[in-house]
Amino acid sequence: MFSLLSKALSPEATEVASEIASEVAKVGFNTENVGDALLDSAAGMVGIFIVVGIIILSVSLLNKAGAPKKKD
Amino acid sequence: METLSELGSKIGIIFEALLDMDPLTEMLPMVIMWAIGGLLIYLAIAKDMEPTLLLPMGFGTILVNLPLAADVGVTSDEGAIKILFDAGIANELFPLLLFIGIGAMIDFGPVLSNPKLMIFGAAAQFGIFFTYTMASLFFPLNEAASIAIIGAADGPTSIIVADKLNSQYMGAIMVAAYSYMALVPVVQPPVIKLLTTKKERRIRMKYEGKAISKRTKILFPIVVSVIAGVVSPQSAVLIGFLMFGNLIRECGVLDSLSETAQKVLANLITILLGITVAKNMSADKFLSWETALILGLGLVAFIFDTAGGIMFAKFLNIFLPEGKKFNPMIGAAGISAFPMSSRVVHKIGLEEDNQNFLLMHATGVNVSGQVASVIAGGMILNFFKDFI
Repeated sequence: MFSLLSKALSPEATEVASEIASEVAKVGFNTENVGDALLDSAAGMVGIFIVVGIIILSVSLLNKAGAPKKKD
Repeated sequence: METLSELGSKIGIIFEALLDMDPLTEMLPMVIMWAIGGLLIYLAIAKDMEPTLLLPMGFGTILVNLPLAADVGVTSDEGAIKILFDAGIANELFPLLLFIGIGAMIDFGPVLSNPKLMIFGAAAQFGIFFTYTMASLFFPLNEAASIAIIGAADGPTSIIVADKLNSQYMGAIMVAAYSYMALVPVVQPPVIKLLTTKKERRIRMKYEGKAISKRTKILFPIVVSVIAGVVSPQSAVLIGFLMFGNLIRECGVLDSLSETAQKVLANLITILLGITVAKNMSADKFLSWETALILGLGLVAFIFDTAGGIMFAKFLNIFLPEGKKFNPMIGAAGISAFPMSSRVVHKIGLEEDNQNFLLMHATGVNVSGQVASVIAGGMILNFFKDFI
């Protein structure tokens, strides 16, 4: 970033402008991966709900097992 | 005269590193990084923002940006920070040891007495996956995942995921993660108020503090570790160390170890972690367009985590009768920033109705978020098991 800025102060400014543009383009918009990411995200959210659901079920069972027994 | 010129050349040698530096491409970035380090130290001391981590990180940032730090200084091959980094971060040892301390600090009582609250912890991880998709528009998937995990609001998880996925932006990710964690009281209230009506914020929830048996408290960390390990193997280490710390706390026979884990171990690791993470805060890595984007995406993750928890509570309320409805604000506490998030929810609840005490419900959701965020980290790592 700073090497580009330093060149920007030199006479070859137009060349540098295109270099800066390519540098910015490196973090530019790219939809190539978005399909995979959406699929991963959906799977991730479903996965978390499944794991947490199993934990909730287990804790409920542990609570039931640990609850003091009612006298008849 | 000759002696004078000899003296001049010797002084020249002493200041060679400084004189050889290009003012714009080397000196300016270095000074900017000193200023950033100074800002982190200022925020830690003057604003009390996550001081245990931001202060060491700030000082480390200054150290790693001294002239020739990478050649003869702290980040050179024999440099102290490089050695610490290889010994504690590159192999994920420090974050895992910190997890033992965190596990020993957490009381899962509120969630054990009302386990269904855990569902909000899961919902509030939405921001991680939303941000992952957003970040994939700008970064390769491994970097997008490392950035998204900022939304876990959990430093050790962020370090482990970023490190395992070989992220080159760990410095920026850490700064974003810890800064936003400290900014939870600023970030969350506007999102909560935007997504809830006054009527919803006034919903009262009955708290039935059931007594939890010691057996349940002891079995909980073991059961959670086994479930996470079986269903999501990549989260086994993360959850395992967190739950090991909790088992030490709850077993009742290791009080001195529990105290050591909570205080001495956690403090020691925290000191080393902050200054070591700063290895990735060198100007060439930090001063880039990507850093600004990462800071922005980190904020998106926190906002959508909060929104995910709230909207899920509102969704459940559609099916629940009056009197059984959840106050949707407790969903926001599913973000794992503990205990700030639950305090924020409790405070807003009291502002709306001074008899509406949401703290215990919010705390239950908050500790659930702690577990869910670690599981989310494991889920993310599962996607990249071939990469790892």
